[in-house]
Amino acid sequence: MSSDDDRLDQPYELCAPAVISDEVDGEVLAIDLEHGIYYVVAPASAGVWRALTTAVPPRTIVADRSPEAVTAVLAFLDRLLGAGLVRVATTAAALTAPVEWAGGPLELEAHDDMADLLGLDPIHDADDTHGWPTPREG
Amino acid sequence: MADAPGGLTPAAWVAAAHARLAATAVPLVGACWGPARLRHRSARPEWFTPFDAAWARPVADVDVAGDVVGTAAARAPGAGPALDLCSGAIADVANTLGPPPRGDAVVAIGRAVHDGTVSAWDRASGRAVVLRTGPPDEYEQVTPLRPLVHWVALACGGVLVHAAAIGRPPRAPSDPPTRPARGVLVVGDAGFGKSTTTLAALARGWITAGDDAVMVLPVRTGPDGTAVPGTRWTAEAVYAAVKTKVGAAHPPPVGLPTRSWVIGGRKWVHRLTATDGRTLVDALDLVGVVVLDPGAGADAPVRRVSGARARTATAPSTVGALPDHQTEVLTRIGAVCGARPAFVLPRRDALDRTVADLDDILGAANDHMDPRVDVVIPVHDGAHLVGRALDSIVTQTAGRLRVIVVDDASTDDSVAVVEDWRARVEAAGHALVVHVHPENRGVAAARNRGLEGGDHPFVAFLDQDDRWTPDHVAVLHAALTESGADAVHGRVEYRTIDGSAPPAWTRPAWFAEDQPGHVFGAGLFRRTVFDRVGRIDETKGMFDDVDWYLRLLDGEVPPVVVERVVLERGVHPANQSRGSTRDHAGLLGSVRAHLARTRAAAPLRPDVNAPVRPDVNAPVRLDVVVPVRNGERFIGAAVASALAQEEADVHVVVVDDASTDGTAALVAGWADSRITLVRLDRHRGIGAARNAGVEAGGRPWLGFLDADDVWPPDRTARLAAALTATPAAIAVGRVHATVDPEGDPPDPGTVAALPAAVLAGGILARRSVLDRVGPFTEDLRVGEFVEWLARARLLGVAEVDVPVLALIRRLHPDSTTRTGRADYGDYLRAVGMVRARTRTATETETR
Repeated sequence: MSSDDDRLDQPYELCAPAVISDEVDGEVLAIDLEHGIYYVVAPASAGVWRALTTAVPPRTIVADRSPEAVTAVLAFLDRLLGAGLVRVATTAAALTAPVEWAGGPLELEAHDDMADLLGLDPIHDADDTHGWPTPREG
Repeated sequence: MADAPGGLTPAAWVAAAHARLAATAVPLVGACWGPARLRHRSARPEWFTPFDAAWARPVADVDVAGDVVGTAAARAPGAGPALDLCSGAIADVANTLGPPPRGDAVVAIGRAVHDGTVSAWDRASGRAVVLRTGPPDEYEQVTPLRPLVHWVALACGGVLVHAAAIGRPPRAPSDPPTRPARGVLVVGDAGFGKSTTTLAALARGWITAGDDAVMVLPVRTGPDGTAVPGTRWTAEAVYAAVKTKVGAAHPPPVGLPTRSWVIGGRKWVHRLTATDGRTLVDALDLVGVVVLDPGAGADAPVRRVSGARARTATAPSTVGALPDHQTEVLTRIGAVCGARPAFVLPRRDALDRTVADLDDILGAANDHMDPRVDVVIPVHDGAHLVGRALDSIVTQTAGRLRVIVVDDASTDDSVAVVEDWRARVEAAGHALVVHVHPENRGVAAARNRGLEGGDHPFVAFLDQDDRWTPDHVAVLHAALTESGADAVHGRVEYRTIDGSAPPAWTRPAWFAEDQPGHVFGAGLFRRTVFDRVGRIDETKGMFDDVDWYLRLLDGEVPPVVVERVVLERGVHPANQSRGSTRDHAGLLGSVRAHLARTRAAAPLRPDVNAPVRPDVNAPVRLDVVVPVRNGERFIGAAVASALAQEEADVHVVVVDDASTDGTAALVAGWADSRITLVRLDRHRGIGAARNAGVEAGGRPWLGFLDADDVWPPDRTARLAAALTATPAAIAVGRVHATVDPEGDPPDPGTVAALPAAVLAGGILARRSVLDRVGPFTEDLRVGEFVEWLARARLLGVAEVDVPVLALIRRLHPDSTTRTGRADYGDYLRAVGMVRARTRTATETETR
């Protein structure tokens, strides 16, 4: 187990392509295509999600914040790592804007109600070069 | 297993008796019963030779190893049990061996003393022994060895039914070769006209698979040896005789290949002697059940009735003729009657009318078996694949299909290949329609085009690289019909289309075991579901089916799941990508829409990290009446399962019917305010115990749980939800019987195919029903619930059938329904009381 200091300096990124995500009206939706579980990150927590999935080191997120904030971000990071949503990134990204986070609780909702359906059928991994009738691009 | 006085186990006794008889036995004619083969040798051929002429499927030549040879071999399936029977006189063995030991009454070994005959079968060795005190009488000569035939039926997942099986011969050669001849099971008590009806039908060109006793078998059985959901059922011919009353209005049949004689001065025996398949056939594919009703009035219409009605008509005379295993017999009769449409046929004033009605019934049952389905096959550059897909269509065992191929601007000769298949599709009794999209519009648009191109009540899909299993339509249609749902899907098995090893990009789990089938090709849909859920979204790319299923699952009527493989999915070996960015955007949009629908349905969620659940209703306030007599071994689990009911506020009333074991002390020791113990002063029976329990409670809902059964935790909430949604007063769930002492539940996906739990333990009722219907009859040892429910029905109390597992019956040697032949008298009496009331009610109506 690495120390908190090491983890604060470590950049992380989204586990693409097994995980896909997007954001609408500030709320993040992420789907783990391997296991069919989908996750919701509320708008209040979305800034931290954005930073942690785009190689912004946690130390940058918690700069000038309280020790409770450090604990909260590391706990949130643990949940993302535990769920297999993020992984260690090789290079850190430069932060171009302040992390939007008012300091409230960081929440990750996990839903497995559609796991059978979203744990995807391999045919969805096929492209249109082998007779599968998908529309041609363009 | 108890030992015999001489220290022999049942199997050893069978072996010893068999060896003793075999020393002097001579070969007689054997037989095929369904998949089973009988080899018959007898130490008393002068007694047993008349059996030779009794068989519908005789096997004349048996070689030394017991294998069937000669002309009959081709008709003898090899997969079933092989019985090596030695028959003789009790005196041939009894002096040295003693009587057969009493052993566990399990199918692995049958043993019965019935009608003066000792029958035993050790299934493990195949050895069977039949001993008599004297020669068989004339009745037994024409329908011999019933206990053995009965045990074989059980061992094959079926049941020996008191019924006739008749059908129409195939209209060769145009009929599809994959379809066996179809027929109906004709049931009713002795004297109701089964044999008369059979002979009348035969005289008009129909065929039969037996009269009086017919072996009804599932075509497919699961690992536990019982029928799998949606299986076909066949009537297997056992005996060649049709018996009618002497002096009845009709003469012995004219023009039929029969030999007729009178036995006992009372019955004509007409032995069907033709083996050309035009009168007596080996088997019929059962498509319906016909309940003969001599009391309905000669001009009353044919009526479609419930499976429960057919079971009630079939059970008493079937059970009464068999020596043991009554619980299994009742369960299996229920399974057959629940799986096929049932009709009541009143006695007509002319046999021509009877046969004309049968013709209509068979036609209606065939329609039921052969649902009209539009099958949409989108094709794009699939010339090398689509033949495999179409081949899986023409080999379907059920359904009249309209195959709608939508070619999505193929650049190869896909359309020509499809046209090459037209003759084969049409020869199988199906239709073929081809639409061509000049521009490539994608699979979703092709599916929608196919939907628009049909008007059949059912819709299914098949992709060009996939194959249906042969029973795809049969299994899924049965599940849809039995559940009332409007969508069903089964499971999917993955294979590479060229048989190569799974490509590296696939997940090992896909090939290790079959997978849930949330894909269009693994489903069957009522056409109306597309009005409710909407068309297929053409903007979702390759996730069009995920999007549609999300919408379906969010609707009010969930799809039914069948835990059977119905689709073989073809995976291409090439290394391929994981879909486009545009497709992923579509998927995220679909899940976001699902999330919004879920939130609208359940705005408050106590734990944001918990999976989303539907809104919960207020707890159901319930009295659970648990009658018990000498049930200390089992009552703990029963009461625990009642107290563990989810979303329910449970009060358990244990009524101890003067147990002589430690039951009362055990229950009294449970210091739990939710449990009330009522002790009857003397043994007063099940009906009195139920009544005492009802009186001791006062809650608005009532359930009954017998001490040796258990409830699944969600049954009360789910039955209550169904009752709340309808004006019915009694909810009837489904029952699963198990010999497992732990009472493990079945696979959830098979619940819809379980028999309706028309048992006290399988219902949930409003207390007001008891006020209206009155108490249980107290002088019936068994059958009291049947009698009570029949009274409720006569009063117009409505029931709702809920496809939810409501009761797990733990079968053990002490189960009330299995103990003692004397109880059957009460069961028959209960049925008699019901009939008397029904007649009175009918007469009152007609006055």
